[in-house]
Amino acid sequence: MLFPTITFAIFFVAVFIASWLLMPRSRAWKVFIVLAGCVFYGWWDVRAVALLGVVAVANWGFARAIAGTRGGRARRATLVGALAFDLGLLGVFKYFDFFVVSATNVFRGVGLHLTPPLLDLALPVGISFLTFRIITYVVDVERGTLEPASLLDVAVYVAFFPYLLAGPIARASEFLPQLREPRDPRRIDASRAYFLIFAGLVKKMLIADYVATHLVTGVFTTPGRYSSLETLIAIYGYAVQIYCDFSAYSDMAIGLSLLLGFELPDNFRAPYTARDVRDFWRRWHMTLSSWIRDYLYIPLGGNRKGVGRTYVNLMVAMLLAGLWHGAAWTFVFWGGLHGAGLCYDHWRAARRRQRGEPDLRGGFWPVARQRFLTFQFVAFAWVFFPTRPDFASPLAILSRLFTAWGGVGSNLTLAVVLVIALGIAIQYVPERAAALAQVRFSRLAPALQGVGLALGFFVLNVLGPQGPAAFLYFRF
Amino acid sequence: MDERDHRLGDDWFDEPGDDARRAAPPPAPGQADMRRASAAATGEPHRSPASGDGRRPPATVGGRRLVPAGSVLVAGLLGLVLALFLNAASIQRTARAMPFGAQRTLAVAAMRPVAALSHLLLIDRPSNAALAMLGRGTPPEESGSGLHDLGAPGKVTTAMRTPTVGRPLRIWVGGDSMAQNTGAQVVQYAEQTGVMRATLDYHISTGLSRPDYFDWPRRLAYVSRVLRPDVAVAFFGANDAQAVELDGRVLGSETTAWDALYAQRVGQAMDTLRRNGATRVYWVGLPIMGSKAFSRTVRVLNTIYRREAAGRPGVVYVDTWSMFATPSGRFSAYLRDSHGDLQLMRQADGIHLTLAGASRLGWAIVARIRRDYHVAAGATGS
Repeated sequence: MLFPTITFAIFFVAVFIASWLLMPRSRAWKVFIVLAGCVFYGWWDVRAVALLGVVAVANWGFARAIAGTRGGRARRATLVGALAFDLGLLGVFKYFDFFVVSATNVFRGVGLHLTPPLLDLALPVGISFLTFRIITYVVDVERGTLEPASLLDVAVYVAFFPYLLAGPIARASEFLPQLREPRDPRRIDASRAYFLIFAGLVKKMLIADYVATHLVTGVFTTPGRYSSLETLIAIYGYAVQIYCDFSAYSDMAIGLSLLLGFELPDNFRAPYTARDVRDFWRRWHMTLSSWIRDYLYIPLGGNRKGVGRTYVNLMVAMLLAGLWHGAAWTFVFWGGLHGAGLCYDHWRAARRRQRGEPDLRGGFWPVARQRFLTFQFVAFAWVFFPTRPDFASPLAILSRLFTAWGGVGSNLTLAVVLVIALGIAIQYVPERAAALAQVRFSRLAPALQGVGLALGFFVLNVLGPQGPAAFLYFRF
Repeated sequence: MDERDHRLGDDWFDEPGDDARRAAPPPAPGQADMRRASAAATGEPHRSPASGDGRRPPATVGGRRLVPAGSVLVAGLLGLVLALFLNAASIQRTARAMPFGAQRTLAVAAMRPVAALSHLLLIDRPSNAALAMLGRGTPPEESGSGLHDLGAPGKVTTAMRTPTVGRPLRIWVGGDSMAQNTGAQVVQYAEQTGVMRATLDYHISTGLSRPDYFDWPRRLAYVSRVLRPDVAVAFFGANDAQAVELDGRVLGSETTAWDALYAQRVGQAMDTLRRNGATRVYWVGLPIMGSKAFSRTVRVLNTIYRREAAGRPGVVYVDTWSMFATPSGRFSAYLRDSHGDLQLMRQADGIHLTLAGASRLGWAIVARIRRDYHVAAGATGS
């Protein structure tokens, strides 16, 4: 079920009413919200609901086993079992065919022709998000920072529909405590929720889909038909598209959760205003980057085992973050680019600190230059993100930048350029301005708020695309 | 250092005491809320705005007034209902475009009085005017046979000329979402020959079954009459196995009456594309699908395409089934490319082609056109 559809609107109104009516009866509410998650997830493929059940039951069992085990070694062994199960499930669905095919192609290169068995399984939507979420539960129980939850609570955590398909990756330690007491129906942060939902709809329907349809998809599928200038603008356009698409889903997920009384972690904070790659990862997909930090980088040793090991750990973490996004070497390469960017920033910052200087120079022009260069790095790295799983397409796009100057091209309209500029400019809107608007809106009477919402839907209907497009991050 | 110290002191983006951390922007209101939620996990007291922990929670957060669920319901429902009336015409169109079945029947029945009242009270005027201004105000079309009277036929010819740089072969590529990637590759490979000019005309979620959703018969008539391509490449069918309405009767997609009507529409589409000078129509069949049930449906559609093409001079059926099946005739998302490497050819839905798959098909289609029109080989595909 896609968020920007009438079907979902009807579904959500029904869930909203039933959820708040059932809220005082904790057990009934939990059963209901699990069922709502199953309906939402099963809308695509009802068989996928079984995956939720398997993940919930298995990890509930693992967590109980960990909590009931004395001795660090036995707890660790049970945790390894849990991780093997969760990552194994992800591996079977997402990576098995990829690695088998990669190995087959390598063997063919040395003259060994194999015909391997492939699984050809349909990838359940959002399985990577689900896996990372549930890992936080068993790991935190093993670390002793979280008590094991009941099966019903684990099921709610697994099947809570707002974040089910594309995050944010709400940790068990962030979500489960909110199940301890019923949410208070008298205290809903509705104004923030409305703004998040509308910000998401505008970013998705009016910016991301427009830029994709009018320039980016064409350039990224057939770069040979476009001028160098069109290619350059399309690269920036894709950066805007992926931000407006993915952050839109997160915004809507957080907003919908707020209406149900639950808080989810923020996932984006104006990432294209970042001053270096480290700063970018503090602002982009923040729940993933902090997950990688706490559940991968730090267990690897983080920065506590020397400078060289820090760089190795950064690279390993980012290569795996790339692979998390998709089963293709282009994703791994993209992760490697960002790993290299992080290593460079660490090295440069360390050198500056040795000279007694701050990590980054301050002042208007230095900051503008840092932001410009970081955006260039991020935007050009995205070229390896969306295309076919080999390097021919991204290289064709990049080479097109140098081979077709001389004309503007017929696909580059003022409207496309303005929408791309808007997608970047919105990240420079001060947080205070958005917060003030939310405060003002929250003080309107419900009837006036309703009129405001209706006008918002009106604008979206008039300016938005005629059919909803799937979110890019669903495939991860 | 225990795990908690670990987390506090070892930020993978920052060294401890990093200046960038000090310069980091203040947390958004939600972040602060999340920290409280996090704190609860470690045993610290947690009180979020919507927490019903018995103590009286704050009436505002960050200056925003917190409201009861009833107010949210009033504002939300009012917003949705007003939006329903403001956008009644386009929502009614969307309801009519749904696949035939209980959901559509319910949606159409519900929207009828809403649209009528909205029209009566002139509430739909702003939306209709705005959509018309943007060129998107196409009036809803009642579904019919999907067959149009196209008037007197133009020139139908099978005489093929060899294209030149001065007089290139005009190619039109169209269809549903299947034509998106494949069409783009056809256009690219065709233009690489230097003697072909191609245009792509795909419309996602459309097909020949539902002219009430997108009027392909009319669109094809326009293509034939105005664009007058020398060659047409049509790739339809991914959305066509659905019920259709004929004279108020709904025909299920697995009935002989449906087969007959669909065959008529396919035949007319072929005739339309051929009637104003196109010397060849390449009708692209559907590939084997990931779902066995959908593969069975696709076989039925391909049989219709093949049969209709066979009876018409100048119409060529392009078989893609075997092109995207394994040597043993089964579906696999990975297939060997021209170098012998396994490549991901199908998207995760088991229906659409990846760029690699589209490249294979696009290359095969252009190779066929080149052979038929005696054009020397150009670039290579996978």
